[in-house]
Amino acid sequence: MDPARYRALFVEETNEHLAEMRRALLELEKDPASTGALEVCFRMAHSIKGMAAAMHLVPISACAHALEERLQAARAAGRVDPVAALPALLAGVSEIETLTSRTVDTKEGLLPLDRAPGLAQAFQPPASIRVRAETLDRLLAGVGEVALASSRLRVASRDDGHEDPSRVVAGLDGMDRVLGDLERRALELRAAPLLRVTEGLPGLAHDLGVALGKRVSLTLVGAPLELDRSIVDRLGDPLLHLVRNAAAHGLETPAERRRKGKPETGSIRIEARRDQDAVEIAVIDDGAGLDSDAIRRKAVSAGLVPADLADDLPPGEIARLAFHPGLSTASAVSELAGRGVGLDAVQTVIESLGGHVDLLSEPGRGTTVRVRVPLSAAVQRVILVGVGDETIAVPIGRVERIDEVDADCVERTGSEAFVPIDGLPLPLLELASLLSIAPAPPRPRVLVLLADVRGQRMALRFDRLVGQQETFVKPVPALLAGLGALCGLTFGTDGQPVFLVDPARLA
Amino acid sequence: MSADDERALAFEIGGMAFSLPLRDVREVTDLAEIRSVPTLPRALVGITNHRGDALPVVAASALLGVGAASDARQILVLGGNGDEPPQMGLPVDRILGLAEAPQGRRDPHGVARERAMLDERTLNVLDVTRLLELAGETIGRARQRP
Repeated sequence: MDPARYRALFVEETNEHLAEMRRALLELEKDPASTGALEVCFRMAHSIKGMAAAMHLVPISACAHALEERLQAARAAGRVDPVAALPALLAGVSEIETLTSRTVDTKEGLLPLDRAPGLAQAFQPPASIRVRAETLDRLLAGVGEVALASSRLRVASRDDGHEDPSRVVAGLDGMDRVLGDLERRALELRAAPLLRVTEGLPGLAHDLGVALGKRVSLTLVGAPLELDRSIVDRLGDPLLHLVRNAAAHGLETPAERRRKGKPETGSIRIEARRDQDAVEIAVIDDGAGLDSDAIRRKAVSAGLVPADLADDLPPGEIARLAFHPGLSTASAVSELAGRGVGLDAVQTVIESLGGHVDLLSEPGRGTTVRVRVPLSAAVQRVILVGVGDETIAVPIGRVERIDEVDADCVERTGSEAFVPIDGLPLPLLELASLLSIAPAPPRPRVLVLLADVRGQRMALRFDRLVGQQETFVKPVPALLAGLGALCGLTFGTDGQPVFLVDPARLA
Repeated sequence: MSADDERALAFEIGGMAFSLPLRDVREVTDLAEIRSVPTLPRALVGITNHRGDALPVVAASALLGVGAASDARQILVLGGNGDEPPQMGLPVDRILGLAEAPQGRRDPHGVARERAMLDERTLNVLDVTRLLELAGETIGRARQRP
């Protein structure tokens, strides 16, 4: 086995154990005498110690050993001392987490990073998943069925030299059914619970609260929900960001909250629910809400909004401004008493996953940030459109609708063009020119798809509608990565590559 | 043959002869249909379906300072290991054969490491890592506003 796989396995298992320990420690915070939680902690510390020792990761095994000792003392006392022992135990878990993340492979085996300088950047952990043997068996059985269906088809098409169309069609139908089943099972392999990235958040929120002199309680609703592993893994940072924002800038101190007649402990709820082929995750706090005046001032000084219009900005527009990169800088931290710090970074990640973020704030009552992401990154519904001689795919979730207008209705002002949509002039962008594709000759009718482009509703002109389909999306090859709006790749019915274009990242 | 020698695949592009270590060439395959990559010039890079993977095909003229492969019928499939998809296709005019090529030092400025001979013809010995880097840099430079 390749050492990188050992490392991946070690890191994955250790992180799972640490997450379980954190849950148990939070349980112990509520009930210091919980025997079950104490036992879980002890077992996890013991396992980590054993695994780390086997990999010669002395600092990790030593740290796990120290945890084990403390837990042993708590076991003997029948309870964990919430003041003296609990913070030390949580700190120990964080320490092991840090040490684990700094472990790299070398030819000699695994080394903590401080003993392997310069390797941190070079090391890219391989994407690995653990699969139950029976899941693999089911997949293999599916492959066997395909092989069987294929030979039946061969027989049906060659029997006595006479093809039997009905048997061929039945064979093809059977093959489609088995392939559909295989696809579903393969996708299930990619599924991971949201809990994978949220389980550490209650502990983090608690620690943040302590550091900020606040009381913070974070609850998770719907976290066992499963979605594509590659999406789950990328949700970690945005959610962490939102929780940090809520704790640091949304929730008030206990004294302030008392004054406002709120419970001293501020609440952050992360609620996840499935909505058709997407998952909606809401991060809800009961803090002070956005400081609209600070956002207005900042927007005016950044030149985003004319001073005379700032006072009339509707709440929705204020919320949109909070996502603006110009307002999401470190210098905005002190001015934006609510939030707005790094929200653009959150938005960028979520949009790159084919999702979107919105924010609702009620002054004095709190803020809700709603993140919506597709269930699967691998399979997406797309609209296929022709641009010049090329075909591109646009994720259906990115398209508001498709419309058609008379070419005569296009109004041009200098280099800009507008089309009337719903009675209003909407900026018109040529997909051909944005994608450097030779345009098709002008036609009497203009086909447009309406979409959000860099935060603004726009009409994107294309040449023909090819259709829509559910398609398996692959990442853009490494050599072509970073090409702006090209967010994935699929294959058309002719077997040729078709690029997925994300309108939000055009222009 | 010294210990440093290695087997190399020799090929011709635009009238010039090149070689790549045989171990770095995953496959030589017939040139199939190549589609454009939006936002990039078609003369530089295209994309093709190679056994279910999308393979960027980069014009040798942009990388090697030669005339365009005038009669390319084959591509060398390069990069990626094991289960990883290959990284790049390089169209070539024709395969010349196998050569014993010395492992020279890498020239940091050019893509050819040094020269070798095959049937009295001078081969420019290429380095696949540098070739892939160069392709990345060239595509990066050519990136137009999306």
